[in-house]
Amino acid sequence: MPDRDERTTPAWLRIPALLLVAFTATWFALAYSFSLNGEQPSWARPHPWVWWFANWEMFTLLDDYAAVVRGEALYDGGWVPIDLEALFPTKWESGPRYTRSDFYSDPTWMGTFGEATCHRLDRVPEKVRFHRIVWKKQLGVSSRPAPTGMRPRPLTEWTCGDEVQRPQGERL
Amino acid sequence: MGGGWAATRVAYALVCLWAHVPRVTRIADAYAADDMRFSRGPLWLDDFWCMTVPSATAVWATATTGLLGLLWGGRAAKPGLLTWLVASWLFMSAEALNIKAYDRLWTWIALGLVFAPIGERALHTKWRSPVARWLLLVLYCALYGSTGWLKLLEEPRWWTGEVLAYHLLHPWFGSFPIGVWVSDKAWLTAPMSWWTVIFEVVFPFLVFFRRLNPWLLFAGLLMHFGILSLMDVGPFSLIAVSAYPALLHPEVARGVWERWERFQATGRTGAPSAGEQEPDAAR
Repeated sequence: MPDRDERTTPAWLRIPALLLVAFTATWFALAYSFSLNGEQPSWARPHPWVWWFANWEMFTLLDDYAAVVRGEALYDGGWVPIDLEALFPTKWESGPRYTRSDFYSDPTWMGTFGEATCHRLDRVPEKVRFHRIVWKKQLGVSSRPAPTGMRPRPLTEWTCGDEVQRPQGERL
Repeated sequence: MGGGWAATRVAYALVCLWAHVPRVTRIADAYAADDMRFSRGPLWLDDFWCMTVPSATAVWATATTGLLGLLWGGRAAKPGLLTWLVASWLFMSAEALNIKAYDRLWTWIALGLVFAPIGERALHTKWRSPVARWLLLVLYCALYGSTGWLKLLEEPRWWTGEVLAYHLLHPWFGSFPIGVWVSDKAWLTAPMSWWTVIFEVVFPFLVFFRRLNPWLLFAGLLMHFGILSLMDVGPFSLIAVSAYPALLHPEVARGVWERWERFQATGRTGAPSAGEQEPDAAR
């Protein structure tokens, strides 16, 4: 049996605790509202990241296409395929980080990625380039490995030795 | 009822250890790679400090130590929790790119645990302040409610099972042999989708009712088991259910503990006679 009943929050903590619960609930509600209608209050527009931590939009919409990212290096006028998964072995549940659409859509990150690829290869090429292979998923058929013979969609071409900038402007 | 917090503390610490410990194998490529430094939104650590392999390993070890303290409990629980929170976010900020839903979820649960009586012993014999549970209820209502209502309002193809079927074929999250097999069987994907959407949509309304609360959590347990079996979303499902003991209605939890204690007593000494039960009833 319970030996002591201490359900009551200490007096000094009651208001802060209630405010914290109310603040959290409001934050979640605003984030949900933004997910639903895409319109955010004017004060939040310069800071889109305020929603990220409270947003729980997961696997919501139909996604019937799959994509992988491939790379090639230019040596002596010829393009040679690169084994990107060997050069960048880290994978998460969502795959290698460079396969995420927000990654390959960001020119700054792709520049960093391009330069890192140049330097991780055994011999530094003149250029590297990346493209996407996109295909329609077929029910009952695994999406691994990617089908062959698909038309590549170009992403980025990078000249090795070009300067890379971080988002804050500092050069690597 | 405090016993739920003890169970949540242990389950949460074990799941986070399972998720965090393997990250040590990616330190050189992800957390201490000076040629792959990224900033994103509030995660700007790499603009000022690029971890080396030794420093990243030290941060990883600090976070692990925090989790071990949380698992140990007692006076080590709260300091361990705070150490884990700070060190793990320092660690993830070094990588900056792929903060996943379960990273955010365990952070929110940790916030609840900060206010919970996780450092006390014999919690199953005590009632405690409900603030931490309120925080978790707000979190889970938002988690399930927002994703469920978005599915309901934005994507009608959830009702045919089509959305789930295609997610099962994601090149990385999905493509498990069993998921691939399920994906073209609408008689499986449709009811599984209904289960998911209905559970998520009604959760914020029904979790507060004492009679429905345990059945709702059981339905959630089945849903997360399904996700765990058919998709690779890391430890998301396990982290989500690690806080279920604290979400159990306090009076239901108390009843469970009392039944467990009676079961233990009868298991040790045989069924008590009517005479032996009388003093308890009188007290």
